[in-house]
Amino acid sequence: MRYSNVKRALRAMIPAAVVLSSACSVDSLTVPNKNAPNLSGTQNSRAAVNLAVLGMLSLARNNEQGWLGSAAAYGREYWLMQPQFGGTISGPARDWKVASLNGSGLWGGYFRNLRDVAVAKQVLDTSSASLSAAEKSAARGVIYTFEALEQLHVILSRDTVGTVTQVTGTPTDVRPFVSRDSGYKFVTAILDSGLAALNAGGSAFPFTLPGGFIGNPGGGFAPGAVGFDASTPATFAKFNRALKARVEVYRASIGCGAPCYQAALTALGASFFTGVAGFTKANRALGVYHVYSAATNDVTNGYIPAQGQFNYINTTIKTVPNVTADLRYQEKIGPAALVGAVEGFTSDIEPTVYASFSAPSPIIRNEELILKYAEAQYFAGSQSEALAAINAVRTLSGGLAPRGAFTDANDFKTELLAQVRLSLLFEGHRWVDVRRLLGNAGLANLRLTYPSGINEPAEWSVATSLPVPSGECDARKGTGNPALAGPGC
Amino acid sequence: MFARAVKLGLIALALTTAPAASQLPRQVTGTVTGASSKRPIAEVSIVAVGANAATRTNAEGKFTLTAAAGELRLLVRAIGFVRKEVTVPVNQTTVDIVLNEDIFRLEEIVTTGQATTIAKRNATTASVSVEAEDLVRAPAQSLDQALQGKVPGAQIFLNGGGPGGGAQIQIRGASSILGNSQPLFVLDGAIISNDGFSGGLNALSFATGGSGVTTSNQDAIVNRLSDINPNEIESIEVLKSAAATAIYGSRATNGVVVIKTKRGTAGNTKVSITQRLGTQNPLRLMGTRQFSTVQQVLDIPFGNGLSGKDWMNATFPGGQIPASANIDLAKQFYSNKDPSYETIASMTGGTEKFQFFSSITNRKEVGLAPNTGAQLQAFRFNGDQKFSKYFSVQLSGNVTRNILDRGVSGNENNCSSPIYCMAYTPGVIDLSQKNDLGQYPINVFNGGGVGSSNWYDEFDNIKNRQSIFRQLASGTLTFTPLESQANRVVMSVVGGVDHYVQDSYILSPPFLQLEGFDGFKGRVVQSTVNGLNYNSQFNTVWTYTGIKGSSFTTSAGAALERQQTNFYDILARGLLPGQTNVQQGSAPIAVTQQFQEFRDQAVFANEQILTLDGKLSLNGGVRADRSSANGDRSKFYIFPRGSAAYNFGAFGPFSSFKLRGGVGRSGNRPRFGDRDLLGTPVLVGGQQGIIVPGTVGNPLIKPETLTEFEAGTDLTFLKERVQLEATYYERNITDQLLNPAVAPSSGFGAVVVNAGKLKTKGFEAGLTVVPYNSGNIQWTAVTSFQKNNQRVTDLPAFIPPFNPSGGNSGSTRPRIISGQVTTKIWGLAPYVNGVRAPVGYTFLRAIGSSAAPTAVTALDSIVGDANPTFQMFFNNQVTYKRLTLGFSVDWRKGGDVFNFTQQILDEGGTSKDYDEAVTLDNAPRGTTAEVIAAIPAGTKLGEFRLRAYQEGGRDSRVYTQDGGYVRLRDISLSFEAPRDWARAIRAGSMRFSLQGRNVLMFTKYTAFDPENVRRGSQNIRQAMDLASFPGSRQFYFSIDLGF
Repeated sequence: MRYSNVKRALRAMIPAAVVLSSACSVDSLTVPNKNAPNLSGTQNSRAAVNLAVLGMLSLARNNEQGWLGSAAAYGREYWLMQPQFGGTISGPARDWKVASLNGSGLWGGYFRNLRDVAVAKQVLDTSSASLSAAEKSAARGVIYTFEALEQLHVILSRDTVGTVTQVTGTPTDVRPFVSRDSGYKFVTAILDSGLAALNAGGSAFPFTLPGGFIGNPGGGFAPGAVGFDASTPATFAKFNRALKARVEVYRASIGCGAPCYQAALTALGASFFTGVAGFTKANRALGVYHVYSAATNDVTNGYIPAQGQFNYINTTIKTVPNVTADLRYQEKIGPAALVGAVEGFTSDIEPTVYASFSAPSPIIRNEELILKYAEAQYFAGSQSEALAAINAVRTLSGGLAPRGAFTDANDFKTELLAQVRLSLLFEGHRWVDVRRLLGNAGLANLRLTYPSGINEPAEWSVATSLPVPSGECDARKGTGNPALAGPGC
Repeated sequence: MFARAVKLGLIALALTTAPAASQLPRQVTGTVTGASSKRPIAEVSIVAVGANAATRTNAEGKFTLTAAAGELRLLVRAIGFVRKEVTVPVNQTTVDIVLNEDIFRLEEIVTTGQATTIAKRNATTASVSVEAEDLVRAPAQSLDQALQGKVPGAQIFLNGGGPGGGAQIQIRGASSILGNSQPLFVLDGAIISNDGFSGGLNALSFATGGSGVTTSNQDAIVNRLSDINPNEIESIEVLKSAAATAIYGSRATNGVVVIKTKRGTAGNTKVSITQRLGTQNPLRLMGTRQFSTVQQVLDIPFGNGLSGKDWMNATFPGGQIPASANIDLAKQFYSNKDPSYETIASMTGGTEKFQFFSSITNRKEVGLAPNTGAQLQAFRFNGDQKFSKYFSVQLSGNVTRNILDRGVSGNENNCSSPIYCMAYTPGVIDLSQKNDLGQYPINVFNGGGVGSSNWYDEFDNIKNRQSIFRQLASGTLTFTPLESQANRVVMSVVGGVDHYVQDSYILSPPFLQLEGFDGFKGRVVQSTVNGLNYNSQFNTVWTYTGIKGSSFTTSAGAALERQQTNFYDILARGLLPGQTNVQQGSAPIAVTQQFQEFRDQAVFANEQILTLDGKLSLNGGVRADRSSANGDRSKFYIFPRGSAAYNFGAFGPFSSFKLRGGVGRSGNRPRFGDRDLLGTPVLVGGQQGIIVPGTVGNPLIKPETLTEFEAGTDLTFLKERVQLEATYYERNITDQLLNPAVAPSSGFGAVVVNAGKLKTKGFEAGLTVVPYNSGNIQWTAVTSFQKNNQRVTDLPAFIPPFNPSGGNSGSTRPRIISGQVTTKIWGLAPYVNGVRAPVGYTFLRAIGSSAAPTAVTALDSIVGDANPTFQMFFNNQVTYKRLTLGFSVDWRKGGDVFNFTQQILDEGGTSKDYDEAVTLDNAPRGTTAEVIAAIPAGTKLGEFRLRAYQEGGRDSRVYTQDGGYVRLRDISLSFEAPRDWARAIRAGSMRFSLQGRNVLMFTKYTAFDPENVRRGSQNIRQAMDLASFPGSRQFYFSIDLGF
């Protein structure tokens, strides 16, 4: 009886075993991850190039959001005044580098995008069949230009600490720091490589650039702006040269001097700069922009007026004589709906530079170029041409009276910085320009005096540069190679 | 694989048959009664050993057994009583048996394999079992809370005191730094989900910042264990050691919790009804500062009171604030005493062939804040059918609806969490009163605009509801092809299904003051989690008892497991008044979806030997697992185990003395997606792009591995009045799943690796004493002790020390550093020339005191230890005639907590003791007498703390407090009514009980509850308390009726 039962049982189990063993095949363990994309499906194709380049441009734009807020805070243009955070996170007089304790800002994002640059180059290299040589060259021109722009931001945020120019693609392969000067040389060389690639890039890109590269991006920045079209390799090259001019002016002011100013003037000549005579109120905004939206996976421009975002303007701008009569003040600063009050500071003015979440932010535009032109002319060309440029900004942008000749270099610098403060408000320039023209002492003068109560520790004075993030330093120390820890760690 | 298993089974069967004896039958009758109670015992199992005959007692404790002639050896067993062997001589026809109450629970069943068990007296590993009566001594918010203080070796942290629960369970310390950290829950054979998904509260609270980000781990998440109805549970067994948990292979490093629900008993259908009615009040609130002048409010640090200046001047024109105008805002708000209730009706009965148990529960727990609460409705039906001698089936099914309205609590960034907002609102404004138009006043403080809030308006008008609809079903089909004197072969197929839908709806209307924080007024989130888990397994167990005094249990089987979750949420922002749907926002709709699936396969074999007349037990086995989560999906990972116990019986002063030890290895599989190399999608100008991911997946990722050694002893002495169980363990967890940050200059944020070792050493002891047991009084006291210590013993050089929990780098955090204890709390502390300055030095330095002449440097260093020195649980039960008193007390010695709540109260200038003078007694821990002496007269305590914390780069020690406590966790006093009372309403039995939970707490800690302290769900305890929902003290009155 028992044996028959056993047999019956075994017989009954055979189909069950068959079903189970098929469910037990290793194939049934193949579970795809549907939550994120990868490039493998579009490898070697035109679509892959498109995704990689647009990805790079997108992250460059995300990084720009961090730059705009940080540079505006360090340059004491902008106050984040969220009452609840009075003491814990940030206040008008505190730099975010201290609050976050590890200075992680303005670092990883740029290098992540430099990885995107590397990936985009790799995708181009393997896309032999689907793109023509000219198309590849055109795409390379865009990639090089943005590689330079991302690297430039690292240099600006770390200043004398230097930067890292080699991004290898292996997470544990850490490369040494290079000096600020080497970093700048790297950036100018990359921009020149970009120009060469664009020049060999034929008549069209193998992808469509976002709106900020084509015509007036709209969105309220400088109403009535005339658009600049950088959507072909030839016109993109003018954008490339505009960046080159900016970089050369930076280099010139921190040691390189006249040769770099000359190089800047040459680059300006090949850029979309309108020249002093061609400069108008309308074409101030001519330039290339980042665009934003509130769509899923997109990012918004967070520096909209105060309501809800606690964005306020540092009230010390009101101490500039007759500032409220300046057209730029009227365009870019408005009365806040609610007075901000934190740590005894109050502000009743808010930025209106970016009117909405989808307001574009300039990468570089004509009004910056004319100020760079003035600087280069003053120090390496014609001082009267510099005066003409400054007066064009004063009268056309600000509605101010023209001024007379500069008494000396300090007079010029003061005038230039006064124009930068209003013309390029909240575009990420004042902190950089004060530092390079007046040095760290100039930045220290931006320091605020606490109205009451709290002792202002010295370390809360204006940041001259950001520390290297502790994570970077820890990883560098972890390699066991002291040479890699380098400056800043 | 299966073919091989079947072959093995066949061989096993072929080896094990023997003919049965055939003799003339005889009949024995008798009664079984309890030793202390002197009452008859029903449902006693009586087996004639070796005679192939068995029976059970009826409700009067009587039995009749028909067996072969000859002397009989009866094995008499009943739940709750110590087993007894009785010899019935050839000529005896009646026998009366007295069973001793099983106070030490030696008869309890301990799980040893997928389909094998052993009596606790023979168990080879430390086991913990929680019985129904201990679990529901007082109604709990959730099963997690009901288990608090009942499981030696486990720490259970609630995610705040809000209604409905939400907790994390840690068994023998954290076993994983970043991987899954929760035990595996097995309910009637079904591996059930304990997922915890945020419903999208971050969209409202901005706890992690980020515009349009809907979820974060700080959203007071409720885990799915809270759907399990404690009233349906018969027992919970917690497997801790790897020597025991290895039966669950690569999902077992965090321990395994085996839950058994109540099952039917044959006989007339019995109905029991329980009705509880209760109320609640705050266990503890923090009090508030008393303001007497308008200037005091205006002088609040950081000018947080300035926005209320006009209102203050208009309301208190003389500049004086009368004492009567001061309001304790938290006390005013967290005061909901509406009745909570619970109704349970259950029914059990059946025949010899079919038994059933069914129950219905309806519970409503009212939250302390207005419009908060939790409701649970559950239905269960369990049926056991015996088809024949060979086949039987056990089926279990449950349907639960769990509805949670928890308001907002915890971290936030826009005043949406009342405790957080109250910290910045001086208690001089009454926000509870509506004006003539039915509108609540706005909160003029804390900026007075967006980013401030009237919590009454908010809790009246927001919705934050999670509705969970869950179905659990499991079944076991058992086939016994062979049962003889020496051999028993049982084959079983177990299947379990767990399906739940978590539907969350969050609505914040546009007119609320806090709306507009991200530029959009009004928001609505609709999110859904669809979870489906199923598992099936096949087992064959062969028990051989052919050698006298020994038994050999050989088992083998295979299992398949799958878990899927599909989470999606939709966020719409910018609503018009009255709009409530997600398609109505002015901003583009934001949609998120996360799909996860795990598939696992396992084969296992086990050998269990009980020999030397039950003195020696040996247990060994191996399990091989592969999983879709591993980098190599085809590879089987092997998890062996072995353990042994020797019971010396009566030995010296001991009536029983057992030594046991075991070693085993279990695993913790990688997280979903750890193996995948993917990009991140982005959008710019309407065009899509892909960027490199922040964290790079690892195609070689494998399970974390826990190797554990455990040794212990179980002793019974003083005439079986005292039992001591003591266990020492050492856990080594290797191949930790880590996401080390790499140098960001590489372009990568982090990588996924297996690296590093964790070592945990710990000791657990349980002492059960029967101080009194005679006549009318029975008193049982169970005391448990636990202590452990965990260290990172090895972290490769390429992994820098890191903070495993993200969180607030500005205050305190855990830190994973090679050679360091994981539970240490790290923060900044001031150093003077390399020597740590006392607490308060930074304050003196800031005011320019000559007592602090030297500048300080704030260094990241250890400021506390979250790990308690030890923890003890005291569970007592005393029965006197018809009265039974049960209670449990919990003592935690040490265990620091960063009291962020106190910090924000000081920052907002509203802490109760703000205006006190600083003394050695009230100053923060670490403040020296020298510092106190140098503090200028008139310095306020709140100001001292705040500035000592904030100045000089920060001193996190100021708010790091001792979180030790003693609490009366639950208490119940019940009265078994005389039968006449019950009969008067035609009931069979009647019981009245008074029950309380979280009745008393004594602690030096100054915020609500040092136990409810997790800022978000983290494996390595963050030990930070930030504006959590105040815990409630609950009282219930219950009536139990039996029919």
